[in-house]
Amino acid sequence: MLVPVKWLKDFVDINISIPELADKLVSCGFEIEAVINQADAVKGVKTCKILSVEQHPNADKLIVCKIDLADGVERQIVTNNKWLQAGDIVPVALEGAKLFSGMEIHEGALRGVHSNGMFCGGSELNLTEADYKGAGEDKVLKLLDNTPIGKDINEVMGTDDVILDVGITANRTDANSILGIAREVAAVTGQTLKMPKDYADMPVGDDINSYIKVENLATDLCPRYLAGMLTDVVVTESPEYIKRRLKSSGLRPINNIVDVTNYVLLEVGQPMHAFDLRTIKGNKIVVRRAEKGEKIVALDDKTYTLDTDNLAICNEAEPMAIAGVMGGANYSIFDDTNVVILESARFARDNIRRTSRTLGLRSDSSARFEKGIDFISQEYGLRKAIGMIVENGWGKVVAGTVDSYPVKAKQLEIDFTAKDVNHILGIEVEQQRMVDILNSLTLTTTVDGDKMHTVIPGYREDIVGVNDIAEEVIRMYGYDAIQTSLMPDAEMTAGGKTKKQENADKIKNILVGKGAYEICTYSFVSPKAWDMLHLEEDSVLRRNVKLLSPLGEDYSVMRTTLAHSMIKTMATNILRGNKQGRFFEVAKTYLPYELPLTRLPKEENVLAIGAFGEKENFYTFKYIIEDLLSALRISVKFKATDIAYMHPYRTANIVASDGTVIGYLGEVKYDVAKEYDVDKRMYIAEINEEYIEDNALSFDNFKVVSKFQAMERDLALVCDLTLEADTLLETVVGACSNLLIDARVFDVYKGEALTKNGKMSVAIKLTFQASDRTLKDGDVNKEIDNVLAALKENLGIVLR
Amino acid sequence: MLKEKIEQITALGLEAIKAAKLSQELNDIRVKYLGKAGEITALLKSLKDAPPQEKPAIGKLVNDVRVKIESALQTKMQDIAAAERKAIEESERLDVTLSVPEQEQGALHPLTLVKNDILNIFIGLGFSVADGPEIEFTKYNFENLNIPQDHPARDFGDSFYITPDILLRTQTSCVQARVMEETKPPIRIVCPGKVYRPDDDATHSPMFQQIEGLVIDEHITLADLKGTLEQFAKKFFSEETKVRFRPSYFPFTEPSVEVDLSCAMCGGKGCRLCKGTGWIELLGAGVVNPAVLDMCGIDSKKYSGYAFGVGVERATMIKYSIPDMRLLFDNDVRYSKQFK
Repeated sequence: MLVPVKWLKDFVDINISIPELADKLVSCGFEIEAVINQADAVKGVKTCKILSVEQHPNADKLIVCKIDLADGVERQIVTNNKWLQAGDIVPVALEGAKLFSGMEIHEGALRGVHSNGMFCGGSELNLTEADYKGAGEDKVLKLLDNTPIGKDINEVMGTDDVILDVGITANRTDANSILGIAREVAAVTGQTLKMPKDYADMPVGDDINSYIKVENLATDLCPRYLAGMLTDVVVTESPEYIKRRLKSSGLRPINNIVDVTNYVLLEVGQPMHAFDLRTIKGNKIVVRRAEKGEKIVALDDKTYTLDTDNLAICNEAEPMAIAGVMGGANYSIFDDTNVVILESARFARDNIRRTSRTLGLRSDSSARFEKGIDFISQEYGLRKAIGMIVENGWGKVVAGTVDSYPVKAKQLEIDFTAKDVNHILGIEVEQQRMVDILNSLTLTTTVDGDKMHTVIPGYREDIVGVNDIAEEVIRMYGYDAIQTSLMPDAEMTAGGKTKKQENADKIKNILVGKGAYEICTYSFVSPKAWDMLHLEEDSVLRRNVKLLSPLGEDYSVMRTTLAHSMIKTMATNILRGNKQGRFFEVAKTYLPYELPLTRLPKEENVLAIGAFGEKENFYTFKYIIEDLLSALRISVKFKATDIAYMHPYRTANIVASDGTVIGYLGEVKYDVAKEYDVDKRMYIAEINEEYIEDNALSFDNFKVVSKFQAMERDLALVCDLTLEADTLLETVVGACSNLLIDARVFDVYKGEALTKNGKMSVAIKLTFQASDRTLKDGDVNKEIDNVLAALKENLGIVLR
Repeated sequence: MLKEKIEQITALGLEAIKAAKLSQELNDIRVKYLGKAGEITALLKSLKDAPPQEKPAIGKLVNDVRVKIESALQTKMQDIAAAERKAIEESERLDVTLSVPEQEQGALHPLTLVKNDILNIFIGLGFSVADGPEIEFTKYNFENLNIPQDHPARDFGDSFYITPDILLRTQTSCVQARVMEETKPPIRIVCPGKVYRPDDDATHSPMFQQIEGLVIDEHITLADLKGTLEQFAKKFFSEETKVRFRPSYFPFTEPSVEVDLSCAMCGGKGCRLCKGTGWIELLGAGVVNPAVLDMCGIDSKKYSGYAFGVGVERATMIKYSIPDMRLLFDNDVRYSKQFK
């Protein structure tokens, strides 16, 4: 909110510098977003009187003016504004002056005649016709004859104010006004708040009732509708000080009546609306929800179609204004308006916000209502508006007000002790200090022994309990006074991570050791992802949770798989020329139980792993997962499977020992890779991370290594081409005694001589060891005989 | 006569040994003198023909020669072996400055690194780690946190709604609300997690991570909050880091504060990072609003508490001088590698 310091001074004396004032406001909770020095725009321009005008000796189009700045120094200006005459008062930029355009002025000779500077026009001084008569013309600005000379132009124009841009937190609805900020300034600088005289008394009497009635049919959306009335109204231009203040707060002057309502909006924080009595058909103001399809042409000359969610201020027949947002073009103040009704209402802030959003129409009024209005400001606003109009002689007030205020705000009073407050703060603030602080904030506080009693004024709806009182105290007392302590009275707690949380960390650390980089991708994806993954139309993964108003289609649905994000990350890396990479991500998938959602969906932590690059193949990739799971003591089997986006012959399900499929791994299908503009092999896996967290076992079973020599035997076997290693090794292991400590495939040979018969050669290495003796050939031969017999019998496998 | 011959053989033998360059040459010399048909062996054999009274003397002479030659051979053999090993080693010279990468170490994401740093500090202070759903009821995201129906934060434009009652949580404070509903005090938790708001620029991401802290017990004060956050600041940045409170507003805390830490880069003198202020705004915090305690079924007469929230992205950007938040979600391996 823009706060001109001069305006602030109407309410409170400011005897400190602007930086000090800014610091004080920051210390009590008001951010200073900017300090705008109006006079910085134009510097070194003064008013002068032209003493004489002479023709330039060397140039027909120029004249030489002797000028007076009331400082006894003789100066002259060369100009082409030949219409200027002796006696005219004009602005002059002297040596070193800075104009609005940023141009600096220097003395110099023009066609051989010295000039001490230059005369200025309105645009050079950041003035328009609305600011000063003649300022809009493209020539030197002739000032009024009574303008003092030798004065800084900013002083003359009233553009020498300092404006504070104050940030106001959402709870302090009362502070969105000059008056509200002034209250804070008074409290924080130890000054007294003074109310300007032009706040009229509330009009008392019945006269208004003979002119106008108010019917409030929507008290939920309009808890208070207060209106006053003025007759014999003169609509004219506002005086300079009003126009200046409106402009320094960013508002455009219109006419005196409209300007007054805007002035009140800024000063009191109460948006007001002025109606011409002639337009109020039936002399009745009806506050009601609009009918569906009802139309209104607003002051911006656009037609808005209303709905039953929109509150309208109507006459007997039709809407005159979109409540709190904008008045109708046909229901404003006209040049010949004679009787004015001033509306000063409280509207429900969320309703104003919704109306403003749905209509796409914002105004200073709606912006203010959205922040929230108390129940006091209606009266302050009306009093100020009437006061300004009457004092300026623009109208006569009619006795009485109309006031629809069915549920009166309750006066809140809080009882507490200094100890209560200090228990919250953790420091000792003296009772008397608290009383002083609260009273300075107009929170009237009395003391009875230890007991304290505070009456909360209606404009502080944010204060409801002792915690709020504590905040008021500490923000004035100063947060720097808070010492540090470390919960001396609290119970000790052990804290730490759960076993599952530790397992989650372990998974990540193992993968880092495997050369994988952790990535972080958005939880929302484009629904097109499912097409890119070639998911079947009825795939369960297409059943996704959808955001109502996403940032764009690319971020519009919650992912049901991490595959898309992982493939996309690899694709981006490949397209950027990165040669290889291993990645992983642990993130949630969101699986709805039903759509639309009536309960929260299932959120499941998934571990996705991805890899690409020349050194990577199915087995190097698979080994990442085998080693990860073995380190966490989760035993699994891999079973060939088929997944829409995966290579049909290079994909396996990961099956836990209890038969649960806990994930899959493999190579991304060629056609799917192409969807991501990639023609390289990419490998991905997704594993239920929560299964790992739940089932990972810690190592607790130390085994002493046998000190006797182990014996190895290699066997080359002729097998069917389709035989899987698991099947082969299971048979081998089953045929051996516990002397077998390891069995593995170490070579597969698919020579043509073999494959033409549907065969291949598989070489296995078997390691035998006993814990109590050195094995003899005979021991091992017996094992091998059993192995060969079992292989032949079960799988028809023979030695090569 | 024989003695002369012996001396001659000795001289020649030693000469030959001295001249030898290769171990093979030495072998040949050994055979020539000490082999079965070698010259010294021949001398030994010829001893039997010597007069008996001279035998001891000549025998000693011959034996001395044998010892001399053997010793010289052995010494020379060691020299040559050493030289040959040296030659082999020389031939195996490697450029030790060359680097041939094997399987490299990977890295955790910077957000995880910073999240772990922060969690570990609070774990050291006795906090447990809690989590909750990212898709949440408005009840936990708003109502129970004292954010009423007409509060601007509840605007459709300021949150990602799924239905009017369900949304992507906008803050990890919902976990607070859930924990308080289920657990009796004392509560001392930190809740890390992803949260979502519709902002997307260099300092905002529509998805980001927060860590929420909550302590509920008897007699918990604003001073305890400051003390806890000071411990955090000193561990996260440095022992010299100071904590400053500024008044602020959050619906679920009262009093509420913005928490500034003295700038880690300039130590408070003012620099680019802190925009010349000497302070960095890193957390929002406050005393838990008694209304929130009551709504969550905790007796606000008996218990009080504090809560704080820190943005992991912002802390990460400060810690590693990352200029644009969006880079945290870029996932280019050239960025990832920097965090090894």
